[in-house]
Amino acid sequence: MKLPDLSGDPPRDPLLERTLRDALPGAPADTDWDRLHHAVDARAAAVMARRGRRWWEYAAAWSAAAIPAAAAAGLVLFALLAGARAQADEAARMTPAPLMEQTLALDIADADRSLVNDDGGDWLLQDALPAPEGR
Amino acid sequence: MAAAAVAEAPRSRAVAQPPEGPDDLLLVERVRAGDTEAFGTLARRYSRRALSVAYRVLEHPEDAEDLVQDAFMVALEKIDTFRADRAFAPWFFRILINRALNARKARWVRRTSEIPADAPAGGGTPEREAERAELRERVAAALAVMAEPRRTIVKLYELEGFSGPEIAEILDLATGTVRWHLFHARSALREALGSYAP
Repeated sequence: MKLPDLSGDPPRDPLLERTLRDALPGAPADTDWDRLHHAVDARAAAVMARRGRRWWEYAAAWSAAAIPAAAAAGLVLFALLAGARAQADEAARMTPAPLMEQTLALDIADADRSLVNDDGGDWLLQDALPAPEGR
Repeated sequence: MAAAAVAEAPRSRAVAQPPEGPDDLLLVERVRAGDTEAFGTLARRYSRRALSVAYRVLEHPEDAEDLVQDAFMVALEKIDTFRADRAFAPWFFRILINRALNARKARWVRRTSEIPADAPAGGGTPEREAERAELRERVAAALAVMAEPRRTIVKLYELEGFSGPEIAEILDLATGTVRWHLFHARSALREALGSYAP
């Protein structure tokens, strides 16, 4: 069998081509080209409209929903922060009262013993502070 | 207009011929810039040949039309990936033929119209018609046993007038591979056609 010459295209064979064309019908001659072209144009216009939009156009399109949403989110955030701050203030206001009550309720001797007790071994403080009466 | 001549004269070498009107690459640039009309010009330039190629693969007129539309839309969607240092036509026909072969493989085709033995072939004497019918049967039988991409290669070369390098680019094959397939396809067809072919 003859080997093919792959260095170039084989010469055109008009007889083979005509025979094939005779045997294999081509696309129908009655194709409605206007309809086909209009269909392509319509679909292309839709694709072009989609791909032609830049980011700011998408942003503009979304702004109608995005601006109210952002405002609502801001209000919610503000309310949360205000609530948290009020809670912190309340906590700060309430914290000293029990301490004060506890301090006032302490007997001075108890207070003294809380600093220097008998078995503490802190001689400097014992010397510096007068011994409570009756001890 | 050359584009019309391309479609109407099946043997013309459309891909190699510079078309009249704006250059393909100029039109592509305009399409990229958002010019829908430029895309319409491209579509009209290649639609006839595209339909012919699609029909050769799918052998069904409505499916071929649908495929042509889809291929143009895919080309438009991917227009930014088209490299300006290449020709537009092989790039577009690559999209078209890949989709056609996939559609055919996936049996997307609603019905494949076998070439009817009694299909009209342009008139003639009863003897001539009988001869043509037998010819169609032989060609159909030879192509039926021919595997892809050989079948598509021989159709593109013999009937659509693409060159070996163009087919190679369209089918993403080496040019030598295309010529190898073409050689064997032609041999098979000549054998099948017997006395009908030279």
